[in-house]
Amino acid sequence: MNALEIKNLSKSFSGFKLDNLSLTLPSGCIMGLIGENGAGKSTTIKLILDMIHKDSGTIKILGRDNQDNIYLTKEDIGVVMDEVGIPQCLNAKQVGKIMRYTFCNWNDEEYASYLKKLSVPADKPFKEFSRGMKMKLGIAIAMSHESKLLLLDEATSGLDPVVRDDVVEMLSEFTRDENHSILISSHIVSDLEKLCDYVAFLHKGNLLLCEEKDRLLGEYGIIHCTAEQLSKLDSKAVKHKKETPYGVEAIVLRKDVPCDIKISPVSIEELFIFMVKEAR
Amino acid sequence: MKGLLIKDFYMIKKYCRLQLLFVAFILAGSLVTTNVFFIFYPCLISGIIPITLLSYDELSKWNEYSDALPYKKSQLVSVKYIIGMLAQILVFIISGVIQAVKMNVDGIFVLNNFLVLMATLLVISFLMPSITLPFMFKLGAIKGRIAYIVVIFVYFAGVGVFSAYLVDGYIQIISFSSILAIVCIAVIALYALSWRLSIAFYKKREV
Repeated sequence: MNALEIKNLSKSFSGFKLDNLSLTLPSGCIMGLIGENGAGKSTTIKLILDMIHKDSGTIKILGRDNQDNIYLTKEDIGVVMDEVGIPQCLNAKQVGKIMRYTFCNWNDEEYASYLKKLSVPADKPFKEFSRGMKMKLGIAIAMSHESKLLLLDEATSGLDPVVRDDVVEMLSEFTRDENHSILISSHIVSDLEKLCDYVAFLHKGNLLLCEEKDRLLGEYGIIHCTAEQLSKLDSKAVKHKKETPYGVEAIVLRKDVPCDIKISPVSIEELFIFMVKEAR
Repeated sequence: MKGLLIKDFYMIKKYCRLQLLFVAFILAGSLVTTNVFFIFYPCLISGIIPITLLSYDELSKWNEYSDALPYKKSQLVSVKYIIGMLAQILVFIISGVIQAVKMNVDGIFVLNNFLVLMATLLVISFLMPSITLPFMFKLGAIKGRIAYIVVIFVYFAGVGVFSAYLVDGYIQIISFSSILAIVCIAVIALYALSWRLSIAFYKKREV
């Protein structure tokens, strides 16, 4: 079963349009939604949760249409928004009590263990939390009610590198269960590169690509050569080039490059930048 | 829904503490004065509690976050009306008891006068949230406050008109009682209508 199936999803605002978005997230996988600020990542997540109303298209979450009693489907979804909307006066202990009566499958022990693991103080009011701490509380809530799908909007931003690594590890562990899936949006591509099985590039409301990460990394490579060497290559092979006084750096399709040329692995970030520049 | 109620009670404890203390002070004051401010103000304040909660929800972005939790939009709206109703009824009953005791002690208790006073308190308690909440659910807390200002203006104008008929702090014109009974029913109906309207507005609103 697919955790998420989005078909031909569109939504217009003044000055922005999410245009005909289609993507599928298989169960047990992590998909990274990568895009610049304003690319449509948060809009996509809000549309999935029916927080804003779509103009057209269909969204299925865990096999259920998101227009059919979505409040029941939300029992199985853990959400961390880019701003965790916990009232400022509440502490983590009080939040736990509220969530106990919010989610049918709320697990107090699990929540306490996540708070401990992420070093979130139980008695400190939310208003005194740093941004990273707020995110950690959001993550602890999202993971303490036997969620099958996590929707994380910029959830790793604001975390220090050590905690970010811990969170990435927790999320990887979460998807060891093949019924668990994650859709995570970020503009910090390095986080997603470590974590994701699939990547989707969004640019100004358009989906540039949705592909298995390993396939993408296997398909593309990067070469460093002189301008003269590059000119000898098949033009189909060269997808993007950057010339400097010291030589040329080019993203290439591996299959169209002769074997004698050394191809280095390309990063998702480099590919993303290349595709966005192409789209401009 | 229980989770939402618990959350709002925590917030009342934190953010409405001063408001509630002030209400207690004014209620105590209403025992020793016939000034209409002391009689009417606690009921007016009780109607502001759900409005205050909504403003804090929007400030903390709880309105967005709660939309991602397993609640129906109707539940997110209803909790504010339930909390408001509990506060309004509680203050209304306490005010009523205080006024009944005071009228008896002063030896001026007349059932009709008392009922007219209670009807006025009911109107004051329920009118403010009935008018303001749908605007807040449709336009958000900031823009919705325009309605709040309008209602305050209407109240003061209304109190001015009523004051013209007050002698020694109690309404003397009995013919008002039947009119106020109708007004009371209308205000309760308005609260119910406002509740439904807010749900309809909030279902359409994109947070």
